[in-house]
Amino acid sequence: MKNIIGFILGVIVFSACSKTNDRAFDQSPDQRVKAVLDKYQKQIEGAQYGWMATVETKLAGNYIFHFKFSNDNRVTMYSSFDSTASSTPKESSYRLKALQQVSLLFDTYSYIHLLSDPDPSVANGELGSGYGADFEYYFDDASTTDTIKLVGRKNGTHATLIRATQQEALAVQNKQLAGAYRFDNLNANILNYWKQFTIAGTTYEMDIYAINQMRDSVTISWKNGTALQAHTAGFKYNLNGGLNIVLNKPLVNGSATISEFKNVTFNTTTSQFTATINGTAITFAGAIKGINIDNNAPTAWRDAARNLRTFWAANWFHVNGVDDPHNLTSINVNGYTYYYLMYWPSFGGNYDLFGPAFLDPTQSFLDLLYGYAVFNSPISNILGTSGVATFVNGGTPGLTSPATPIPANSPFFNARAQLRIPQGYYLVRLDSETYDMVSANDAKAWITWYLQ
Amino acid sequence: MKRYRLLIITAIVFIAFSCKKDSSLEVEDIPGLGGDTWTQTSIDKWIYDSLTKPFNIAVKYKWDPHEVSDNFILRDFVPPKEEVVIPLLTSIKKVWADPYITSKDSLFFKQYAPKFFTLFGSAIYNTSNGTKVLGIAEGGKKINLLEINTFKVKQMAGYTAAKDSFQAKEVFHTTHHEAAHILHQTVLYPLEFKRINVGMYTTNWVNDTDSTANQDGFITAYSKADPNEDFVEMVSMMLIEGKAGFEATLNKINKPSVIGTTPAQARDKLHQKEQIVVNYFKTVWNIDFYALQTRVRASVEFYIR
Repeated sequence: MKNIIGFILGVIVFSACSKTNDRAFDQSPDQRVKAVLDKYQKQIEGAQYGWMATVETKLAGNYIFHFKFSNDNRVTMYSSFDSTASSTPKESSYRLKALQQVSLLFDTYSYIHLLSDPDPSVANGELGSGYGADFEYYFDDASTTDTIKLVGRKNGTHATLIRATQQEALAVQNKQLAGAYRFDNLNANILNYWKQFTIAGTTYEMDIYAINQMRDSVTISWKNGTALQAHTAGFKYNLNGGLNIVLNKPLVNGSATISEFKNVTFNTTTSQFTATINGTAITFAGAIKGINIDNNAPTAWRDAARNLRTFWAANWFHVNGVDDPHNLTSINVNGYTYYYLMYWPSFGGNYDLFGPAFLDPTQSFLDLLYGYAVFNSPISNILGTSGVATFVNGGTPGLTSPATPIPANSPFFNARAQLRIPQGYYLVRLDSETYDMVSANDAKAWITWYLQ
Repeated sequence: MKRYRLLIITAIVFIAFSCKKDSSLEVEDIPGLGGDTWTQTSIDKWIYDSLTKPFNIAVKYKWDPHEVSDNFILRDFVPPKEEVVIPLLTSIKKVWADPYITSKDSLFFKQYAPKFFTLFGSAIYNTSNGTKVLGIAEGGKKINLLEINTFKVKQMAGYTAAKDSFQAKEVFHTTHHEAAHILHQTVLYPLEFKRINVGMYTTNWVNDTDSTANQDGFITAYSKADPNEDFVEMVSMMLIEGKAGFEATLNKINKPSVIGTTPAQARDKLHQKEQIVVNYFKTVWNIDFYALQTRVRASVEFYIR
């Protein structure tokens, strides 16, 4: 025992006071954390015209924000998210905090929280998760004086803040972000099936490629002689001067190049965008007729089903931006519920059938209760020569079994009236089993047929 | 004894040989020590003047997800809108603090009120079963109020009773519920309260609706959780709904429960509980419960109709 004590004493005596300062840093962790906090605080509040930001979401692509940070925990923001956010500044609070990393928290509600709001009735996000975005970010080390890179602490989404210029700040105050909001929601703002602009004698059709609201690319198509050309490119917004849409891959058509739409604005009265391309003013607006109408498409469409002795099915018409305006999905005939619309070529001896298919009350088979007979003899009743199909000539078919009269005030009458517009429809082939049928009257009504 | 001496020797050795070191870590200035700070706004001042200074009640409205329990911290929810904070707290003060102070005194209120409120803008959603969390209270000290961004009372623009009164009442209900917990945790209610529904308390209360719980003599489904919850639900519901509202709930009981409690028995149980609550407030706290009830209900009606 004595030896052990002696040993311990010896160790203590000889080792206790041999401390040297071997710290990796000159300053304590607290001093260093405070230095980083102070640095970022100074940087974000130091931007005289605020910051232009691209805020990423997991479920709906990116949105543009403008942040102006004060030195007293206040932030004023605009956003391209909706019409209010793009036109009215909103002030809320923020703070920098030393969490696991030094972090920027938007700590009372503002436009950025719309992207995370779990209540679908607020901003139409997913129940319980919104658009999968963040409002607590840590600073990525890759940040520089004029670019701050943020990473979301919860969902890991990124946000990039770039020091704004005076021009950009002015553009934001002049509500230019509204153009981005409008372009993001292109189909709600231009109701036509076709959206076109013309420059140097060539007409281009442009649409946003959108899956689940991920709006990251546009497709632009044009006719080169008789051949249809298409160009797909990612796009980004910037606010140099006005709102600009920049393609990540320029479109080249002979000697013409399109890489940027400058000064994009949307006129809510005319539902048109205006912009300039290489200094030339253009108008991007809805069109009644596409650039690539195939005169044989109606015949090809009808024959595709007829040759296979089957039919085309569709959910409903889309009219003036509204799906199922006729409320077909509400139809219920003695427990038989609406399933889809059918177009059945040569259903009867001299007619094609247009009518709803019903799911029977046991939900085990589809049934036909009533319909509208489109007389196909002569076939020129339906298939004209100018690429337009019309369904004007018809009547109630003599269905044998079961012969259910169409109930008065049935929504089907409205769908039938839509089908029977005298101007008829263009057929647009998407693939061999999918066609869009677009109103030749105004191109604001269409129906998508799927081959059964 | 020997071991004891050895320890003393070792201790002396340590004391004798431990040496003075340069302090290797500065600890004077830890960022965030003592809580977050920010430049005070009119909201902060209002909270300080109206709740913190008079009643020692703190309110956290800025985002801090760690205030909710760990079950929920990974959910997506959002901070409150600043413009809702003062109207919300004003109405809570009027529906909860003022009636207690009038019925008793401010010393009582300062002593027994929950001391910490945290506010969140949205509810926390349980997407698996389609429910959402609107209020959480912990330990009789803290009350989390959620979904306050849509909180509206009559005095706010756009209020419609059909849409907004339920949520407003939920906020008042949660506050009174938690406040009552502190009372019975300080002085317990008479044990006969626990015998009224003996054997019917269950963790399965989530499968009940308020009306099926009523049929067994519980004022809400949550009352079935345990006698303490039952007691504070009684207090809270009677205060928020008022005497007439309480009787109306009882009169709606019109069929036997699944385990055979008749409507008359259910009403009798609820009346027994009411009587215990009233006596408890009188004998323990010297508060006239019916007078308190009248004041609370009047304030509730001021805000919802």
